[in-house]
Amino acid sequence: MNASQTLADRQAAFMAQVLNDEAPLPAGWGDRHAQGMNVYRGNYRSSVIEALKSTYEKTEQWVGEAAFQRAAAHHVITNPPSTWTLDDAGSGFDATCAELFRNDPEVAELAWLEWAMLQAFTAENVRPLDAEGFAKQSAGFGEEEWAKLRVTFLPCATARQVNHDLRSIWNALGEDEFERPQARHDTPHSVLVWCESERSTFMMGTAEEARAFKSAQAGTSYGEICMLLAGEDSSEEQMHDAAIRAGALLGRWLNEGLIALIEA
Amino acid sequence: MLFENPSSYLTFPEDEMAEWEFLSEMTRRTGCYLLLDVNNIYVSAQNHGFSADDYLTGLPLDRVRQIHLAGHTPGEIIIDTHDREVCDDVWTLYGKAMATIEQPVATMIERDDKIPPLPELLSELDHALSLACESISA
Repeated sequence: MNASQTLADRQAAFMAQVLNDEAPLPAGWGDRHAQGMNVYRGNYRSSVIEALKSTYEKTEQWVGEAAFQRAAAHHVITNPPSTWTLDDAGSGFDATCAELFRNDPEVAELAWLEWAMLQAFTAENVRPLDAEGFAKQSAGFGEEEWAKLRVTFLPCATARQVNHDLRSIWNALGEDEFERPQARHDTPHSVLVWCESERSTFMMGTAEEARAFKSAQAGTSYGEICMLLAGEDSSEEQMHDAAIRAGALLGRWLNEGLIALIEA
Repeated sequence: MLFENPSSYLTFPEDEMAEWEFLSEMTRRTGCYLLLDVNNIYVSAQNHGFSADDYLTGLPLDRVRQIHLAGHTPGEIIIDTHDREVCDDVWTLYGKAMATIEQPVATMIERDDKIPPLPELLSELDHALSLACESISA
């Protein structure tokens, strides 16, 4: 650091020192400065780790305090927060967990769920469309309108494919002393996350539901989703079955209050 | 709005004024108030080799609206850890501050870790009260 630097330059240089133990000290700094810098490094890391513990309470309970501490310390070093709020410190921690807990893939899924629930809680509040509103808006729909129907979900809603029953893990973690449930699914499933009455919540579903949800969220029409579920070169019967399944999913999303609006 | 004086562990060659001068100027220019952390003064004074008394007397104490007290971890560099009892030197500094401050202020003892039994915390509270009372009766 030198006299020609602006305050912003000095702050950036200081932050670079905080983030990197190996960064060379500025000219003229001695052992005492190095010790002082280590205090800031330690304080910075412990603050971010505390933020991670707060965001990933269930994940910590699942893996244990010591393992979580190691994972959190690794995450802080490899993914230093880059925004103004500590709330964002947990961004990407599910990927860190996937890397560090390779033999326990449910850990990354649980971490993803906790992060998604935090994001859902802080997302924009939008009133969900209720069954009556849906019925009114779709009252005049013919076959063509149904095929063109596009769904907009609440901003807080998200979904992904998972391979574990996160509901059973979540419920087990509600107890002080918990027994680990047999949570591994033989086939992929899905988890949907959203915020309901100012409380984040989730539900498990089929892998097909995550696929349909993500497609709908990306703007795919209801007719196209039916075809997606039926698969390529599907028979008429398969198309019929797919349409029934797609209708069931649409009904479930509506009943759970995940849909903000529809348009055809 | 109140600004709290920090505990610090580094100084910079580019520093143009002492911290208390900076805080004084800040309150003068903005009209803000101060949250006086007496332990932070002590920690920074020890770490950087200045006089805690100079810091205290250099501040516009009429702008103080709240005081913090806490313990620290001793060492070559001492750290504001809030996990020990308030040390004698900090109590002395607190007494000096209270003897100068004329307006009503609230005092808070910060303790975030290694929490002792309640009677020990209450005893620290009593001590803070007695120093505050002495300053009023003096």
